[in-house]
Amino acid sequence: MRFRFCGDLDCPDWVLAEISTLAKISSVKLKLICAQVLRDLLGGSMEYEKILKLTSDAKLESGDVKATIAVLGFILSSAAKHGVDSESLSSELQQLGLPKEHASGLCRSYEEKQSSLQDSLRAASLRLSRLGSVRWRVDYTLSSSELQEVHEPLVHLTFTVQDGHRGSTAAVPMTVSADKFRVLLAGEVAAGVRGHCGARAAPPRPAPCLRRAEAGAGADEHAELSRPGGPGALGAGSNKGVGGRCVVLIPPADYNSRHTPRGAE
Amino acid sequence: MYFWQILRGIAITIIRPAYGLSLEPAHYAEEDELCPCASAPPPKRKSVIAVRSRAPRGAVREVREMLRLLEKLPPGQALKFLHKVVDGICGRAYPRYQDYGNIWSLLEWMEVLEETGTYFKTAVGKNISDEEAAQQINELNSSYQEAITKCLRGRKEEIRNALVERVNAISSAQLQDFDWQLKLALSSDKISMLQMPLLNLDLDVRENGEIKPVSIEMNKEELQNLINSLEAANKAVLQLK
Repeated sequence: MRFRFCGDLDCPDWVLAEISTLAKISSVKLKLICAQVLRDLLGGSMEYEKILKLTSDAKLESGDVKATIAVLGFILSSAAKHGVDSESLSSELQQLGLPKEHASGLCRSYEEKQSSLQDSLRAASLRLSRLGSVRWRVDYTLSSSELQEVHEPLVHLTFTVQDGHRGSTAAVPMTVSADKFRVLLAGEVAAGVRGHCGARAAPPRPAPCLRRAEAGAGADEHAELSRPGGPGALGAGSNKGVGGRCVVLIPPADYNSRHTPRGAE
Repeated sequence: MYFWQILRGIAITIIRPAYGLSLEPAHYAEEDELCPCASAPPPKRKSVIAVRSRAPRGAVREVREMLRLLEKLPPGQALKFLHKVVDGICGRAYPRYQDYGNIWSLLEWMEVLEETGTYFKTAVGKNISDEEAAQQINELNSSYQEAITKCLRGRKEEIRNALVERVNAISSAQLQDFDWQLKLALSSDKISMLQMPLLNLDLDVRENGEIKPVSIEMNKEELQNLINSLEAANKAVLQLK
């Protein structure tokens, strides 16, 4: 038997076994315990004394109390993980042998918190690193030993990067020349930086830059997955060789419609 | 690259005693003038230095050398060679000795590369006028003069950009390169329908000559923050221009 709240898999044996423990508690009290478990899942703290008080008249041993908390945690987080609606969850729990009042009480608390539960799961998903603050400074170089009159702005950037898992932060300082900075932000390659090949050979195409990346991130949030590049990789930009080569590894969705190749016309 | 530097080091030490000081490029002269220890060299050298330091800043001596060596090159090849040298200054490939081995000896090769490079760099770096730049090479055969002037005029802007790049490289960490990838995270162990766009920004930061890769993963809000900061910085940059 496969269950949607288990991700279309068999229900784990231990969950099956502990359903009967849940049935020992009254449905009202089960709902109150549910609220405590949900608090824990949403990042708050569980009040263990309250749970002990709620389970005391059902004469549960401490092992059973732990099992109750674990099984409720599994049902609620697994249902939120697989996006199961409360009605289906209720009917599946009843198929597993949970009394109807218990199941509907549990599902009512689940329904209330489903979206916030999913938000917190989404936020807890694996991230390799995070960008904290960005600090910047713009200098203006007047003169130097190499070049008598420079008169060029120079951008200093310091990124605070948080390591995804350990949470340690590292500051990454760097300087960026004005030309490169413009390429990074806007994808505009200055005529002087293009070199020989850029200006003549390449037909005008949108250069890869962060502004385009942002447009992609916005537009593709609810996008169809059946795009030419395949799911999982929406677009990429490269700055390899500012001297005249800009590579779009996988063009953004609207690329083909806006830029028909010359031969195709 | 290391080999080339070592080779150049050796070549210079060989050149010094062998050719005498008259062959040395201008910046050696400047170093000697600045360095207090140069004030008491052996007597023979001293007289040479004394003569030299009276010479006008730069280029006559140096250009004469370039003249002698450059004219070994068939006139048709001069422009190509000069462009290759400028390519080298701009961070691309320098001309290769194996292509010119039948024209110059290794020592001459070092010399001519150094001299031509220095000529272009000083002409642009010190913002010398076209006439003055032409005057420095007026002892050359006219076809070579023309080639140099043509090359200099055509690639002045590019050389300037390369020099600006070198000026910026003085700071300890510079952004060398960047790549980005926009990915849509579909699912995770926490939630089966994640659908979260994530931007991976890879930065190659050059620190003390070594490339240090930095990878930053951002969600939409973080990217928006980054772009807002960069836009603010860009506003400041644009105001300066």
